[in-house]
Amino acid sequence: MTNSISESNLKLFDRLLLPFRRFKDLFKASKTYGKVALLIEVILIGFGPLALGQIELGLLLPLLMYALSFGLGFIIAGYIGGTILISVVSFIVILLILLAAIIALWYFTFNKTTTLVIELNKGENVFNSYIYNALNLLVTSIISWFKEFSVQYKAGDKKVKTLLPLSFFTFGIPLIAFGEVIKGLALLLAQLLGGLYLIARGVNDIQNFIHLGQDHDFEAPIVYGVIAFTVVGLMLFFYIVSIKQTLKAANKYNTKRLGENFKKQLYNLVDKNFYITSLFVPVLGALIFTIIPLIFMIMLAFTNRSNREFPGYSTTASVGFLEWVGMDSFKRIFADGANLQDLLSVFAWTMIWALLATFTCFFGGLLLAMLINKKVIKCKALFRSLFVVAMAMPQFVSLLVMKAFFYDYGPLQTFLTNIGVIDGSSPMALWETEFTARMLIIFINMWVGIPYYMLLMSGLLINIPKGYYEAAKISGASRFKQFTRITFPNIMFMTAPMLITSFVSNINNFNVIWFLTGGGPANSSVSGSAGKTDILITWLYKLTMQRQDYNFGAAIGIIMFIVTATLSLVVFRNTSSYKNEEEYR
Amino acid sequence: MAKTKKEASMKRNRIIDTIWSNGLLIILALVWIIPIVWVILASFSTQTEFMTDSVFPKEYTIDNYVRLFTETDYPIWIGNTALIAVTNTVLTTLFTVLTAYALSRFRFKMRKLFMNITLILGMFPGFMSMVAVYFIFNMMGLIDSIWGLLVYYVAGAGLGFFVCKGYFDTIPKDIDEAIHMDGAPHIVAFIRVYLPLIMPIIIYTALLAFMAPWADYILAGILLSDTNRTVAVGLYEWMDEYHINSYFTLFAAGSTLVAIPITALYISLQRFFVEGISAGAVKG
Repeated sequence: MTNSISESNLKLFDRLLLPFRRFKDLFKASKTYGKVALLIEVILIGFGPLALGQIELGLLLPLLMYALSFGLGFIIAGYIGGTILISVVSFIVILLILLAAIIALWYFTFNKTTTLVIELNKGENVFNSYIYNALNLLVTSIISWFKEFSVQYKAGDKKVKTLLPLSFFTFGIPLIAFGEVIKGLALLLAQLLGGLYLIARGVNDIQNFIHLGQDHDFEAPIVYGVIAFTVVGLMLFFYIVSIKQTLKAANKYNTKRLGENFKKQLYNLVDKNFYITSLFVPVLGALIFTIIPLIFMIMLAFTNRSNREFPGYSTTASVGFLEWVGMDSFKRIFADGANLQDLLSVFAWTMIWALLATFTCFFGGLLLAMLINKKVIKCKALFRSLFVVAMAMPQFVSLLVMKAFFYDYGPLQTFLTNIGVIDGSSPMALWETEFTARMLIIFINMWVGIPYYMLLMSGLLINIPKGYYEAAKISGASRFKQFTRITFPNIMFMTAPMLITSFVSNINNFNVIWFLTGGGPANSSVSGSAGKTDILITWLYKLTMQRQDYNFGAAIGIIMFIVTATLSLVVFRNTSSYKNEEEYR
Repeated sequence: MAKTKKEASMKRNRIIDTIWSNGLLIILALVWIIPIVWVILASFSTQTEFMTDSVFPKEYTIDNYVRLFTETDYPIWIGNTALIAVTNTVLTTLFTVLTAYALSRFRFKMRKLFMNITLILGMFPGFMSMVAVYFIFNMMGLIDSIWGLLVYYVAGAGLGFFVCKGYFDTIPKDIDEAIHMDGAPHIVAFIRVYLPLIMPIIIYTALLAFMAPWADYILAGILLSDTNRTVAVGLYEWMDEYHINSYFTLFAAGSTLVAIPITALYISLQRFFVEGISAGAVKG
């Protein structure tokens, strides 16, 4: 077991070096095209995949890489030149993250180039363009639909010849006539409701959305516009569905196959179509309360909707009406030194926080679980329950209690005063100092999080076969060695995906920061919109809810999304549950 | 002689091990327990100020609890939160389990798309859309109503299916075929066969759904007005710098009252909770 773990580590390292090792041989083995592509990858760093015909990926990756490199240079220059005032720690963290991202991107293009050239040498087609594929699919499916349509139309009797063209104008009636009553009624209802909505206000809303302009409720035109566009999109979707279904029904009718009667159709809704019944409410809910608001918020980033005035930028506060301003909100992040400093400092602290919070809780929980598991500990259940009490308390209660515990004149300070360690008259101001406040946040997060991980780890520790430990004992391995060679690799193997998801969820951990410090202490040196313990999400909250700087907040939110989405996508694609969804069956 | 020496040293090592392990664990337990004990005792304090000259109060009274129910809005808050929590538990669990079931047991065209969209939605910072949500609720006349809050929680139920679906995926496919041989429709299979099989994960989902309204600060803070709050929002305000000195013991009493039933619930359902988080962790 120990061997196989270390071997697999070696393999991982080898695998990482593989593209570089095989480069020379590959170059010799390739024909002209492959050679040129490999050369392009080396000389024009990152453009290898594009040269091999990976259109979108080949453009996106190197451009992103160069953009990040440019950003890195910009930040270094600004830091040295004194125009970007951030702390050394923040600077180093940002430097490391950007470097890591650039190297990862470069490595990815390099790896991709070599694998593609190998495929090319095997005689496979390496060209890939998502847009081309999508267009191709669209065109071929339209063509095949037309063919099918003409076939059914020619073969059909009078009924088919009237109903099929009718399906271009009405969603449901032909279906009902063919006997597909439920589908037909649902589609007809959708058409009637959607059509009425569009006539009554949808078209008007779309016009307002495009022009914006004066409106007392600044949000109104955007929200109504997004709703209208969603309805149009849904109508389009139902249109396609209805035409396809009508064709299918006509085919059935032409070949004299009997359709299912009404009762059977109803029965299907709880049998083979049960998924439609069960997904209906959740999908509707997600559409109205998650997707539409999200699109709205993304739109907001490109408007001037903000109650704060900024020199050189039009905001609703300064202009008085809503208008589209393109990328102005994003420009504000980089052009306004204070905003950039805020973003960089907050980003650096967010990363430090997420990393520390994840690892302290993870290892703390593991060690605590191992401690409780020891043979010499009596009353294991009692101890476990004690810690579970701390976890079971509603999170906001435990956070607020811990905040009070370390408050000025709180119990900790009273205790220290009473035993004479500190002078009670001058408060320690633990929450008012950047360093202590950050340390306390990490500590309290451990207090809240360790019991949770302890419970999880106790469950996982049981799953490690006892035989490993016995074998290790016989070969005389020390306890420490048993931990590093058996316990830790096994636990890591089981929890690696969770480690990353909890890292991402810590990036978005609003409650801990907000309940403990509210982002404070305030930052006096820069613009002051972000406090010293603010992470991205609490800063976002302040920007939108307190400062009502909506467009700027939305822009920050989009940047956050890009960060977390990249992280989670990279990880998620590699988890077994995504790759081998069917494996468990 | 040599052997007994070795035995003696092993015994000594064992004693040392016992002492430091137990000692460390007791210290750790104290670190976790003291704040809790402190806040419980503070809730019985006669001194109503936050600033005191001793860590634990010197005299005890139940005055704070009486005041909590007679002088403050606390009963409204706790009533609101409990109502939302119970309703949310039922509805959210139902929809989450249904979604997970549909995505795990059926193969249909939009399935992968639906799952990918859900994944992407989960990556947006949760309340990025709060402004729009507020506006939509305003349009629907659901502002300052706990039903609005409930609608929002339940509407998100379909997006939290991942752990539950992972659990469904582990149930062998043979069961489906056996059910089909019997000719029972899927809904019957779902209720009779699957629900009992996934009971642990249902309890886990229900527990999380029950806890969510107690912990939600953001949306409850935005949608509800000052008189019609939930516990988290109300107690948070008592702890800000303007209120803490005069409201602290009330806060302590209020927190204790909220924490007791929930903690009891957690501890009694601990087994399912562990099962749920392990399933979520290991399956990613």
